[in-house]
Amino acid sequence: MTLSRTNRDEIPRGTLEMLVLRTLAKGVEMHGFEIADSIERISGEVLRVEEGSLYPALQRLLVEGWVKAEWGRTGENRRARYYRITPAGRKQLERELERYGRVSRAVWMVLEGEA
Amino acid sequence: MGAWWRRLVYLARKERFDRELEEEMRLHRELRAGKIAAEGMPQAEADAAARKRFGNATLASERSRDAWSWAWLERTAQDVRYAARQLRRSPLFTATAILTLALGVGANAAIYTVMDALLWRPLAVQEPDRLAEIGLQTTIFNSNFSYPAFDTLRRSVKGATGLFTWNGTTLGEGWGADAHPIEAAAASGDVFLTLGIQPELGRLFGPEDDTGGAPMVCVLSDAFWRGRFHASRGVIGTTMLLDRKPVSVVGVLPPAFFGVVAGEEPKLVLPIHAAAALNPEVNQLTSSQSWFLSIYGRLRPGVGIAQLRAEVRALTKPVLGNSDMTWMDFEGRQTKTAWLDARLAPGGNPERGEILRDLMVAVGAVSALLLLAACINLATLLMARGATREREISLRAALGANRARLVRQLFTETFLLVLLGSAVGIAFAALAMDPLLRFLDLSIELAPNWRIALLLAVVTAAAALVSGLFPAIRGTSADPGEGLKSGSIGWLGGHRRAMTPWLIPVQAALSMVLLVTAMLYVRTLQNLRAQNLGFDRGLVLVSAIDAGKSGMDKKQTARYALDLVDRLRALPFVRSASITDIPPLGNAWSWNILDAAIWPALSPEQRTLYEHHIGEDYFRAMGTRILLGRPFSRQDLTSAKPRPALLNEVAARTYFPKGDAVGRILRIDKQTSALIAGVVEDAKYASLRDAAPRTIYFPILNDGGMSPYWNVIIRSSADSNVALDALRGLVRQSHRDVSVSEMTAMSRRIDDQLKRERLLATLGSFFGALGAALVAIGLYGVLGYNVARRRREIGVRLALGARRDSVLWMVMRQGLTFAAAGVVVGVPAAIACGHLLNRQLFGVKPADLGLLAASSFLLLLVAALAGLWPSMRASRVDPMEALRSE
Repeated sequence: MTLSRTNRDEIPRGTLEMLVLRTLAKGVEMHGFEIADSIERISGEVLRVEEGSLYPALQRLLVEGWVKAEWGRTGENRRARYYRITPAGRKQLERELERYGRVSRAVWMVLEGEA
Repeated sequence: MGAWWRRLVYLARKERFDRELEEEMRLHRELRAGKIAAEGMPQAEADAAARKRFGNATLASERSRDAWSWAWLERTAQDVRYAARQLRRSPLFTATAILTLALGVGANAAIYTVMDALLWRPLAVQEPDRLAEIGLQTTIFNSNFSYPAFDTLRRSVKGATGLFTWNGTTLGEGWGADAHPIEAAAASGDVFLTLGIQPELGRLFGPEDDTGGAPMVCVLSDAFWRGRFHASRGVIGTTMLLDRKPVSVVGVLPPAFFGVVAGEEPKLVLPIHAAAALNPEVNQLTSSQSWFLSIYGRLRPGVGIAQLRAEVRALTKPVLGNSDMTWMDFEGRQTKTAWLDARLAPGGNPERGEILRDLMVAVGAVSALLLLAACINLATLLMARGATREREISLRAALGANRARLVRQLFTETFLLVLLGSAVGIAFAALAMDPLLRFLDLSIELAPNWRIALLLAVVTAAAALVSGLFPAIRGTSADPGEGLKSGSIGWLGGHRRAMTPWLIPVQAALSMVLLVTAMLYVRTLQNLRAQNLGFDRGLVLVSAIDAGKSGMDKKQTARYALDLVDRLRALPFVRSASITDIPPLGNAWSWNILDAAIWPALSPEQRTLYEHHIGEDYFRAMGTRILLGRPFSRQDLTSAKPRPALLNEVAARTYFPKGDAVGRILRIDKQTSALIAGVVEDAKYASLRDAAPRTIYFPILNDGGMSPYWNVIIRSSADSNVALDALRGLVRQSHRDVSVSEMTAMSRRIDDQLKRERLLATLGSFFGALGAALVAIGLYGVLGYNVARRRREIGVRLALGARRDSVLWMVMRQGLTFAAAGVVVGVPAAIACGHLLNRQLFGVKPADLGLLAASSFLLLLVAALAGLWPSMRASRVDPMEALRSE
């Protein structure tokens, strides 16, 4: 067998970050579980994410300053880290949405182009 | 940027981050488990399902951490640690690699440092790029002017201000026979104003100190002040005894200023008028026949060098005055055309650097070649080593390392080797600096600077790339699956790719070039040494006498000199002795041009007649054969007109082609003629390389008188120190204020002239040997690898009945073939290289068959020796074991 580079994510990492940003773009504060839950719910359970892979994505968003995090308390008084989008994050989301749209349209054009 | 700052904060709080992440992820799993359990699964199963949903927590943590760290930093640190471990595991290889790299880099570093100091370093003065030097352009740029010429220029030139002169000179410190020389410089009053430097202590002299009657002052160099006076502030106002006159010290120059001529660092500087007062014969300020001063100035703001050049060129006639002078350039050639020129001199006068330029370029090229050979060698060894690490690399690839990562990893090893090699090399260079400078007769303050650092960085990077990139890429191109299969060394060596064979021949070719070049230099040196000089190289001792301060007039000086030489002859160890104004191979020339009207058929070169003024017994003392006629006797020395003289062979042939020189009169010009008393064999005049010029020998006495500067020639087998002591003793006994310089043997003078050739021969041999050693190491590595690779095949052969010595020969033949290929390629390359160096050779042609044959044989011998051990190992393979093992 030849070994090629295998991706552990089913969702490419870039898209996951975009989804996270979109989830937070409503202006809410969510912790990790809530974000994962929200993505799966809204996508109609089509997108199955290895939930662990959410955390590296969240770190990257933190490093770039697109989200901010703060420790707080859940409804059950458990300690959780809450994430919120930043203005820079909103700008990044716009950029990513635009790019993703562009690419998808192009892909569809090719797929529908020839019978 | 914000990201940078956040990353730094992370580094500081790493532990806390890890803890918090753990907590976060744990909460996530618990919440998920809770949700699943709420849908009806038992808790334990819900936990398991949640964990599964979550995925690989360890991986997630790791990748979370990765997001925060500078990935490249982590990777690089990891690479370096790994590389260091690998290198430690094969110490012999590492040591060899570092050593060869060190020698290559170190040699380059040393050469570049010297060249930088001589050619590229700017003076430590204000705005050095506005400094200009004015010179006399003949075939080269001459930096010699007379003082009247300087005066005229100073008053006439508009484009440059603050013109000053500079002249390196040697003064005597102390009294009489025990005086010792001190390097100094004489400069006109504007020097420090124009250069814009400030004193470190006291004051620097100015135009008011540089007049005829001013009290004599001087300033010390920083190095001299620290060395001799231990940086004592009390040195200001003290007096130094220079050429037997008191000169007071008024200041100390700043440390970075070494003078205006790169490669010369005078210990003190004094005004030119003071130097003239000390030594009127040597520092002639009124005569327009003495040309010994260089002139510098500062470009006026807004004036460019092209403008200045045009201006001074137009001033040629007024400054040079009598246009019937002939100019002699460095190599002793004469020309009549000359005009004034100017050039930018940010580094001062580059004359010393220019003289050495050929030498430095040759050595620099050889060092670069050697470094290249070392890098190729390293690449070869790395490839051989890489092949034996195939399994390890395949494993890592199988575990998920991507190719770029692996290449970077391997390359780091090379880079580490090169870095260590460079560090050691620079250390070598630092140690070798002092001896090198002394050998080249330079005194330079060496300070590290950004130019050298940049150059070394480039050299290091280039070395790393050349050595490491190819093996790294090659080493990781294997199919990992194949590599992991049992027996990374395949059956019959089938699909395993062979070691690229062309590297060794390339190295051998380079080595060939180095060897041939070395032999050319060695032969040149031998030829120069062995040639017939026209006098003896052993048994001849020379010493310079200075009676300038003795107060004797010309006739008294003559009587004194003759008396002194008589006393010398009486000493037991002196076989013969004589005197002369200019000794052979001294750095002085004196010549006459025969009048063209009297000798119309001769070319100017043929009419140039070099002179020696000698005492009796000169030829016996020097060991020059007398071919016709007779040498001077004591009476000849005082003969009236026509003066007796002797000619050398080539002169006699030119002026008396019928061979009847003896007894005839040689007319030199309308006033001068000579009665030829004899003909002697050709003897070298000032240069070892040039053939003996047409030479005439006159008696040293003129109207019974003599100049106070002459040389004593002693023929003796005694040690030069013994002879010097004896001579000094005689001088002291005479109670005259006469100084005697160091006594040098003629053989040492010859060696001094051959400094450059000796350096080239030594370095060439060293590098040639090194190149050959590199080939040996490389060949040993490659053959060894091949033998290991083909062990099974050899086992099969032996089992099937092949004889052991045929196996030995099989391996040996491979090595010899590589070397032979290198020789074939190397020969034309070596010949081409020899042509480039042709100017430096003497008595040997670049395509000398004997040398080429010798080098080829040597290289093949080295290849044979290198291949001996692997071949023997191959012949000793136990077939059963080879077939059994992997």
